[in-house]
Amino acid sequence: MDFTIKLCKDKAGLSARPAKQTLLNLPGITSSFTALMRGPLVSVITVDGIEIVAHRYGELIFKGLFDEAKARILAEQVYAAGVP
Amino acid sequence: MKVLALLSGGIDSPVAIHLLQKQGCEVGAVHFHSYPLTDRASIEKAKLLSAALGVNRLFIIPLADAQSILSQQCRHELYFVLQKRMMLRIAEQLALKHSCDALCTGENLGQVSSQTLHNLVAITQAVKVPVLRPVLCNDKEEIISIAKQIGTFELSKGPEICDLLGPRHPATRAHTEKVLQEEARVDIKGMIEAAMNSLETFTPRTQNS
Repeated sequence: MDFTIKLCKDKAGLSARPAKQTLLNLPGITSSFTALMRGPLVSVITVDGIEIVAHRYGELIFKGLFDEAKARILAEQVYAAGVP
Repeated sequence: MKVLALLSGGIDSPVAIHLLQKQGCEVGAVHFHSYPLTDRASIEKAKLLSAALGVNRLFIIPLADAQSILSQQCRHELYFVLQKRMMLRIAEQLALKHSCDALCTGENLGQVSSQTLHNLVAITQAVKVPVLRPVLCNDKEEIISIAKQIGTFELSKGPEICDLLGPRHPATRAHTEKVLQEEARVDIKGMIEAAMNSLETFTPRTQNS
């Protein structure tokens, strides 16, 4: 799946956005990783020690992560679990 | 006079607190955080700010669950108004418990689209205690200038992940009647109780101690 990685709007981490409009399957994501919070619009998971906020509209926010290569690997894992 | 101030990690609320302290008020603070929807940066900032300001006590309250419910079950355009009414109600309970005479916020007209006079009226009607807004009509440059003078600007300006549950186009003319209708959809009392049960208290060590 195509997505872009860039600094999130608050500059406190990186964010991933799908290239095409996507609705994530959040229950699919929270059941595949350690979930800190579950919700129909937004969920929070931990993957490899990084907390990730997953929005139903497709954006992932990697808290405190500024390593683009790592963010890309994590995004691929999360999108694999959450994109039907 | 004893005042309980809503202290975010931002620039405005520390200045509001400072202005009240200058008038001789004894100020305590309450910080609402959205972890895990956000990071913990705002909590650390609130602790540092409360120490720098010399507030006597900081209450830390998680609001993420309530925010999630409000964003899912109520009209999204009213999210910021509903969220702020929730914060004021919780703060009011704390104020009454700790014999405070008023609440204080760093709300300021014209900065964000949700902070309009109409919305502030709807927000204020959630509580009975007076709500003081010392920086309501200051322009941003004035607030930043005071923040720099009192040493809170550098503490406030660091990056933090913000809550992204808010609407793109928030209501700017909230009517209390509609707000009450939306609140009737959710268990406000239960959400306040849950938040109060998760309260943590932090006693700041002031810079002089």
